[in-house]
Amino acid sequence: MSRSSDNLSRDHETLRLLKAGDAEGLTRLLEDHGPHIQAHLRRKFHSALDPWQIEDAVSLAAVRAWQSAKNFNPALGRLRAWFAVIARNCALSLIAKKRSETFVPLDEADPSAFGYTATDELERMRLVLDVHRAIEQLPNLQRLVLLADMNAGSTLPGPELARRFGTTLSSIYVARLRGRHRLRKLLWRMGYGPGRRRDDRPPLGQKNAAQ
Amino acid sequence: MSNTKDSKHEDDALWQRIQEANTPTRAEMTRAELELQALEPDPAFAVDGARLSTAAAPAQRHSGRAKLAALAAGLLLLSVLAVAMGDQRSGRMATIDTFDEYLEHIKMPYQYTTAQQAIGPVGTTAIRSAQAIQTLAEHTAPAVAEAARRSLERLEQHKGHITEANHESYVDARLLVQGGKAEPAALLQAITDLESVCATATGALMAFEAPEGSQAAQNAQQLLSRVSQVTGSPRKAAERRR
Repeated sequence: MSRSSDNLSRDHETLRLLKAGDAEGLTRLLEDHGPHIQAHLRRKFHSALDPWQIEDAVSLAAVRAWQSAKNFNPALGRLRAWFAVIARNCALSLIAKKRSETFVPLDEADPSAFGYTATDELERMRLVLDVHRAIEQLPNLQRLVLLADMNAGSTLPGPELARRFGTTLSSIYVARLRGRHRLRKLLWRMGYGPGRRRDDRPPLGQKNAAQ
Repeated sequence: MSNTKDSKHEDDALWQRIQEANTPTRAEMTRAELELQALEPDPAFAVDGARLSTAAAPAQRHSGRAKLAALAAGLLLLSVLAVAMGDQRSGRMATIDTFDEYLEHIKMPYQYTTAQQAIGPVGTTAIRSAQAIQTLAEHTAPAVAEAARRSLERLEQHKGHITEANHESYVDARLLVQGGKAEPAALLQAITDLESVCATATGALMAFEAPEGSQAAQNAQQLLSRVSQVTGSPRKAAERRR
């Protein structure tokens, strides 16, 4: 059996373990692909994240992969590529969070600065980055619910979130409803939505006067 | 923006778009795979992996468990402190599982106080930090000063129960989690949030507009360096191991 098919076979088993919620799956994912993913993020984001934040992004990605393994579609590519894109989005979320908490030089959070040039991918990354920026501005429970949904890649059951966050089912539903609405408003101000153009968006790193 | 009854549909449609953007596509995965093929693996991560494998050895595992227990003790201490700080929501926090939730709920300036406690929940470091926080708090708001005073009292009361768990246990816990040897999601999230809150604390201090040269500014500077010193410790510890 070739090395490539060996790897694929191992990935297949890793995915099975991840989907089964077996911690061994997480170990294998990190041991097999962590070094490459970390190198990938270091190369892309060294200007915006320090080495330790890049490790955090890999760790966050592992958690996210753990939570959303059921969403992986092998027809779209290999496990490590899927893990790499998740890790990239985690890096973007850290950049968005970093910007909201500390002083980050202007323009440092522009995805094009990280070597991404394909228009579609760049737009998707901008949206991910802006979504995380907007989510950071939401009230706590709204932010928690939306982030939990995003991490899972689906709308999580209300009872599960109510238990996790120690609140009532109706609070979860209301938080989700209001959170999505408020998120749309915030993103509209950032230039997303019907009748909005990219030119309407404020320059990266500059606060929108409407906020 | 219109606020019609169609609003919810628009909200949901945008959310759907967001979820799609957050889900890896074939094009993104293809590009990522090509880039990964051209990369050498990060040796620093490989070192962590080696440590993970040794963590499975009985002696190491025992050590790891002890340190994890110590970390848990530190986090539980935080729950006591949280209650002392009078935040009703945080009063629910009693386990690691909800620690990240607690961190999400707290707001400035409590984040600052909590961050200091979180990064130094052991022995004198925490107490010194709390004292420094108290000094700063006196220059901010009475409510914060009172919270800091209570936190300090609690720390003093509990210091006898605090073990020598320190930043190395933080690092070990992190490594164990990365290896899937401990409750991965909850603990890893808690650990990640610790650093996140530390960053928040630093930001808060930088945003703290004390007049230059004033006592408050000196206190802020002192605390900034303390945050930097403490948050740097686990990283330095990890570096030493490498």
